[in-house]
Amino acid sequence: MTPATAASTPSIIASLGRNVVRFPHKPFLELELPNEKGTISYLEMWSQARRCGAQLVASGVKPGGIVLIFLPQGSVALAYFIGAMMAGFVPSFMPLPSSKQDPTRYWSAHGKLFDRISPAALIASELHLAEMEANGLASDTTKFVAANAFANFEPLDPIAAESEDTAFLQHSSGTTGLKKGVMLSHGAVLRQIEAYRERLDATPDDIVVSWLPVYHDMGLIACFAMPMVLGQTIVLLDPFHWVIRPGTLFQAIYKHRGTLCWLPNFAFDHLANLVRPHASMGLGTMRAFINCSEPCQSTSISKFLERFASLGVKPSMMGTCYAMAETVFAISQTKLDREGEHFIAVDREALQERAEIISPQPGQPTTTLVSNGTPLSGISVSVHDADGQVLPEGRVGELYVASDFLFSGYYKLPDLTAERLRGGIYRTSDRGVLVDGEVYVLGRLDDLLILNGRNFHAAEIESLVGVVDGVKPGRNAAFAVFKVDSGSNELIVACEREDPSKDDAIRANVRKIIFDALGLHPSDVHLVPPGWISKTSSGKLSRHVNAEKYALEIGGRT
Amino acid sequence: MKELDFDTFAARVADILGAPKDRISRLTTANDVNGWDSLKHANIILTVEDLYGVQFADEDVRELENVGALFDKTVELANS
Repeated sequence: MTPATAASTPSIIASLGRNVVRFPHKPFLELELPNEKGTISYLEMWSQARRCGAQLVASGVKPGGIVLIFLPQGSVALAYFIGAMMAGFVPSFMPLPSSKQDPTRYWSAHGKLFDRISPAALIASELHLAEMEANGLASDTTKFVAANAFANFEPLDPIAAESEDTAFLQHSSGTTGLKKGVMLSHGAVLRQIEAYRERLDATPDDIVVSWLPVYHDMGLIACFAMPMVLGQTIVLLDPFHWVIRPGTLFQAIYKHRGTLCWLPNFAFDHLANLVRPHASMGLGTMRAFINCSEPCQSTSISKFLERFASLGVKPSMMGTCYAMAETVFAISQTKLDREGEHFIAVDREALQERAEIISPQPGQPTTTLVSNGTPLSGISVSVHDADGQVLPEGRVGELYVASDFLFSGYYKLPDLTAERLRGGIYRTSDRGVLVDGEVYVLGRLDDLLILNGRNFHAAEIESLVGVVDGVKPGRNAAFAVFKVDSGSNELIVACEREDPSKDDAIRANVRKIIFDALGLHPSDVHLVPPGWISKTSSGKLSRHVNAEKYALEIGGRT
Repeated sequence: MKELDFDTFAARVADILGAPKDRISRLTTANDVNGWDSLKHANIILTVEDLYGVQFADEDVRELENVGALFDKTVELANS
């Protein structure tokens, strides 16, 4: 089938409409969810989305307003998202609490966000709408839309969106006022998809297999928006089910002859640690497993390759990508036909002490870095020092990006937008380096913690922990420590407390408050005596100093 | 299939979590043990299934409240 191009239509909906005309009966979704199986064609999804859009209009939702979708992974959630765009609203997928999270704490934590963004509608099950109402989230301007009635509405005719109209918001992780909505226009999304299509040599024949949640940028763009625009088939799995049954990913690839799969680094380790190769898991149809959304580790990639070589996994299938919501998705990506390794060995001391890349020196320790490939067409990446001066190749600094597919700003956060997006250049706060035109990402410069591919602000976690009975107010620090066995950063919270006899209760309460609000499990709640937490002379938390102190203290336990 | 006794079961759970054996009782929950996240939980479930020849339903995996409930469910499935 001939490659589709994304840039020739003005909107995502126009692209989808074109695909519905080209191949109405082609599978849009192959559903491999615990509670939803079967196939939904392009025409069926189009029709269902039109009814969802009609329900929103009939419910009196404010034209052009923000529509938050709190639904489980599945066809209905996707149909409401598409239907909201068809009707001219601005949808955004939001995570649901797990059955073990306290619903009161979870929903009440959304109050600050809702006050700021004033959503025009909340789409959810009747149960979750009732929980939201009971926790004070109802307002005169927000319509509660139950996601079980769309079939009763006559399909609407999609409105024509302009290229620079906001298509949707992609919300960052977290639940409090720090959660920010990245505004993405139809044009920016389509330009990104066209650039990424070109890099991946993607065609409508590609089959994207994904368990990634669609509220996450990799699930939303690479595994939903891009296939929809390019006319590909999406094989959809459930994130929770995949974690418990990781082998279902390979079974789905085998069953549907999958070709593309995006995974955060920890997922390569999770698969390699728990899946036993089996005849029902042949992976020979795959073109690429793309490692993205958290720093890519050479050990994780090697382990995955070795473990699944018998299923047909080859080094040429291993791709790596550097992406973020502010550039819609991909900034750089390795070429899929690339021969050889994606890794370079560099002198460790030069990297750590002088922030520069030099070749390994005889007898000196080395560090292995994983390339994230060269920037896509339409985007430039530069490296800058703390004063904003451009650094040459081989010098480590902050990565800046300029592109014609940047976000339009953070929704209703003008100060933050002005700080991060200046003169068409986005300051990523990522620490990285360019070598031979390839991007290497080394970590973060701010307090953002990347945990299993999701982003969390340390300050948000510290604020939650600060109210736990027994923890000294303002005297805790959240930081991440890389764990080789899980292939990801894990969350450590160090807390000062006066009374060690209450340690078990404090530890359990700290874990519970973080889990209820953010769905996160700390790897360690490290309870320490008063005075342990390090702050700078101006009273600011020094997280990296606390992290080093923690590493020294627990020694071999990391 | 391995014999089902709680001490052996708890020792295996402790081993996966990297926790001292005496930290794991029937009432222990994920909140009580450092490092018991959803990935470790998957490891526990799959290991128990392999060791005792059982298969948990998704609802069981979601709803089981503590190590005792996990052990009881394992016994129930092994005897069914």
